[in-house]
Amino acid sequence: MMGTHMELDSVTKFYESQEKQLHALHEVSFGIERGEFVCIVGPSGCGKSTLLKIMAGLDQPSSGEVRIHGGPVRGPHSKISMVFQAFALFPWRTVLENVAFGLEVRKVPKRARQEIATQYLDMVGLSAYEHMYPKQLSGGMKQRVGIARALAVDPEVVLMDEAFSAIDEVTAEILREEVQEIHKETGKTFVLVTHNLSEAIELADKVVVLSSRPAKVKKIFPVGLERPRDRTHSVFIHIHKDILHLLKEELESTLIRHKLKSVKELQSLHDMEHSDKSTALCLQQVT
Amino acid sequence: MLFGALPDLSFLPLLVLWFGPGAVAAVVMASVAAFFPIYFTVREGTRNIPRELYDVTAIFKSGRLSTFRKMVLPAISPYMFSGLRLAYDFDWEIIIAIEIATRVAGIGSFIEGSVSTGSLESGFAAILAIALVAVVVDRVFFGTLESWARKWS
Repeated sequence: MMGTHMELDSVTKFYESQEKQLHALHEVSFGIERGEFVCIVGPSGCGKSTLLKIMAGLDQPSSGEVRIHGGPVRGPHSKISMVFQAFALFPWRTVLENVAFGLEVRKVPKRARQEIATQYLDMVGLSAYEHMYPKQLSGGMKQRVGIARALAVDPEVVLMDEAFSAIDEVTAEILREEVQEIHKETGKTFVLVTHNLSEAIELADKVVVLSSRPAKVKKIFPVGLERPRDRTHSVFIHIHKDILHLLKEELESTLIRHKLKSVKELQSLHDMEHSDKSTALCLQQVT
Repeated sequence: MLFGALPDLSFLPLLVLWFGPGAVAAVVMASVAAFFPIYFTVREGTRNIPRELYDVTAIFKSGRLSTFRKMVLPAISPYMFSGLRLAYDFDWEIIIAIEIATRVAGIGSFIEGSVSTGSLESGFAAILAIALVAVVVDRVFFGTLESWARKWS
């Protein structure tokens, strides 16, 4: 169960558009142990999802690399599976056919893949719905299908992109408990990107906090609490407070940077002497 | 796109010049008229495939052919059938216009002949017959096809 499973080594990402270059990730490095549950949090728009996409092999880093068992991830990997925020089910496939999709692509014979898919549907409590279409399901049920689909190919790593944020809170809580159960039973490595701090602390062995764009690893918080976790536990609250504080700091410094930028634009329009005194003061303080 | 915006019948004189006033010109004209409704609806269908679904096929390492068969084709099939239906409706108009314009034997020229010789009853009977056939094919054939393709939505 132990040993480094995945590594992110100085993962950097630039996006090029006409004239503009967006620096999304800056030398993001951390390791993930086998069987670990890692949650990645950060200010919205900081590039968390981009990072997950790179880990999934759906996107390439501009420099640095992601490794699994020491080998680089250069594209989608048979040991890495993913759960999507908006479920991303095929609407024309039944629940069972959706879960079996990965196996179908891998040319598993029909009988075998239906058997496997049924097993995983059972695991997420949806056996009675196997012949329904996604449209007939609630959000929480759709995500159960998404989870079963990700697990059906027996991956080592399950990446989850905001997997609980498009679901109502009560259903999400139940689903989180079940995912913890699955994590415990299967011993697979889980990586969840989320903006929900309590969710992260509830699930994670460690919480990776990213800074605002370009995202760097700001700090890593190990969470040693026993599961199932009590959100009112003093350690839980303490970690929550620390992460929140860190993120607030991060957001405020970004705000000041943005303010500074707009102030500089103003400056180019007006002569500094005629502009507001306090603006000048603010500029002095920040620069 | 220029060709899509062009009234299809404007090609007719050219087609008659090239193929003569007959069935060939009619078939070519009907094909031209059928192309664009299908082309535009299918294009719309491919554009409406959510990006995330491509990520799903990529995650499971689905190749180009299997992505086309298992995702693109089922995703666009309702659009394909809508396009076909639209093309079918267009082609009724086109066929009748061609028959009247080029005097090719058919129900269009029959209507024209009846009306010009004063036999309005036959003219109306033919129009009614067209309406009946068009509606039945539209509802029964295309209706069934489309609802089959959209049974999941």
